[in-house]
Amino acid sequence: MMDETGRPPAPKWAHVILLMVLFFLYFPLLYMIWGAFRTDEYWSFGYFVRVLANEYWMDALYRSLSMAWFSSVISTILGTAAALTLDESRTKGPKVLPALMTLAMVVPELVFALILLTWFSWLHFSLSLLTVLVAHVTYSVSFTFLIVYGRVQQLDRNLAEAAADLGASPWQGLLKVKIPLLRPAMGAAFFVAFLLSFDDFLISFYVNGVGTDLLPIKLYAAIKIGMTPELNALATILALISGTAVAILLRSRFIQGMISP
Amino acid sequence: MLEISHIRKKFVNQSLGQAATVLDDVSLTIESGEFFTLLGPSGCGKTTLLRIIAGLEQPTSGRILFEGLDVTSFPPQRRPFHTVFQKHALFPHLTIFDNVAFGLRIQKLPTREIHERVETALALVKLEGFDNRLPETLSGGQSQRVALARALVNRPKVLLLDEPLSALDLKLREEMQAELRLLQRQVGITFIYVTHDQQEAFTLADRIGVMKAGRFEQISSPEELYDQPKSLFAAQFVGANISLPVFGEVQGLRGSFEFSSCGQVLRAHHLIGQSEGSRVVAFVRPEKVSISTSQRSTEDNELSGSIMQVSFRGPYTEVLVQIGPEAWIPVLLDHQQARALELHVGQAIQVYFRPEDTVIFREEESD
Repeated sequence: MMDETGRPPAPKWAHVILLMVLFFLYFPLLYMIWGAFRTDEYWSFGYFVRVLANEYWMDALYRSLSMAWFSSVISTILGTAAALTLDESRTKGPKVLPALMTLAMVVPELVFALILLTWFSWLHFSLSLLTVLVAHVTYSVSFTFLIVYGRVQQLDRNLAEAAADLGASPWQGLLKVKIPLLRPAMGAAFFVAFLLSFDDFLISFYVNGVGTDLLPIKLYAAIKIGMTPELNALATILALISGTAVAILLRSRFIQGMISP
Repeated sequence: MLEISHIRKKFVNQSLGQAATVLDDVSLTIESGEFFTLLGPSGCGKTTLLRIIAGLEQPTSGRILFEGLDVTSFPPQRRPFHTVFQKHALFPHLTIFDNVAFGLRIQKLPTREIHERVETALALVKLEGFDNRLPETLSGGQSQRVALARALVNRPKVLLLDEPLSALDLKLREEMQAELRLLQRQVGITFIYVTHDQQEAFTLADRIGVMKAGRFEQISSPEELYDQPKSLFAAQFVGANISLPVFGEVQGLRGSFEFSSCGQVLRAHHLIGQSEGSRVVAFVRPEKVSISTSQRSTEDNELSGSIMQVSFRGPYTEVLVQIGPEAWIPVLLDHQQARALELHVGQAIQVYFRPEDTVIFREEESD
């Protein structure tokens, strides 16, 4: 029997496996969210209210969001600059340079965190939010670079030449032609960097200073003491923020262009 | 006046470490208001020369002078030239209006003047009302017009065009050729036009520079290029059905040489740089050749042969006349003439052409 796509339908057991995969993926998440609403007798937003009113958590959330914001802005700018520079020297420079930019993807995250910690202590940098910022940017710039570089290489070289030909200086050509055309890719790069920073535990844990913990680290410390419904509510808030960023990313022109060019 | 003086361009191939000479000591003077066409096969260096004039490429040596001013070291944005690119290179994120206004906004002209000049430029290329469209919504011909308007709106002293019509289909291309010629007369600025299409070069140009392997083979008017080609390459590159593959030796330098394959003596007037005894090859344009079924007394060159083939070619009849074991000449006749002569294959026939229409070249030039 054929369906309208003209292919034979998938066997029954394939559907069963699909359902099981979805169950294992989403049941723990739903269970966690359920735990955030559950009290002994009734359902309520009580735990959310308590978490949102708690300065201890809100300070950390604010810090994490600011960290994600600033590190991804810097990372997007640096990644774009690197992509444009490497594209300019594409005909001259060694071919290995773009590959060197992807260090963070090659080295295990744990090793990457250790490298940074060693480096900071060798430089006698005291660990603080600044070292976390540097670490997050260093880590995510590999990703922002690759995303923007892919788009830069697709740009019609004649466009920059046309801009120069019409009287634009290299700087004006960059601002009026290249950057506007790279904007969707830069947007996608920003959200990827945002997610990397906001979710990050390992690197932050290694290079963080005292008393300036980000949310994932505080959450980890609290869970070691014991799971409470407040933590369920907090984790739900984290999932919501990350989920929103992913949704924006998936709906962006850049990703849409990759799915259906 | 644009002077191109002893331009050389070498590209170094990174992986092979070899230098390729793309332009080899090219010199040229283009007058103001001239429509000049650079004609040649792909890889002859014509686009590189155009890019060097535009400033998009630096020459290895040589100078570009505009109105006496050396602009060789000027970046493209400081030269009063604008380019129409082969693939149009419209800015995809800008509307048609913003595309055309790009150069004027860089110059920081007042908004009202920008508006007026953009509208005038769009009217010039017959695209009124396209202001708010995006480039992706335009057809090939419309994109081409926008690219023209975008360059012309800045009132360049010289407009550089890099095969701008090559992406269009034949009918549209012919329309645009006529429009371009008209436009050039209207605005009165110098056009330098790169093409590999000899038909296009003939239609458009005041003068044509034929290029081969980084050098000019000939720089002359279309008429002169067609009637008096200076090299075998130039003769073969322009015009179809032109070869008269007769070989011989130069006998006397008063303009005669013997056609060795059938022992007939031919005379030619254009014996450029030939010396006694050198091997030569002769060319005549087919439409300059006439045929007759009977001998006639004449000063013209005369060859006898037999008809190999008579074929209908639309506007004319083509007769292939065999004049030697390995040599034949295509002769073009109008249909009435062909019918009156009652031609048939194998018929003995006389071929006539004037010495002044006969051009000869050294045989070794052939490649």
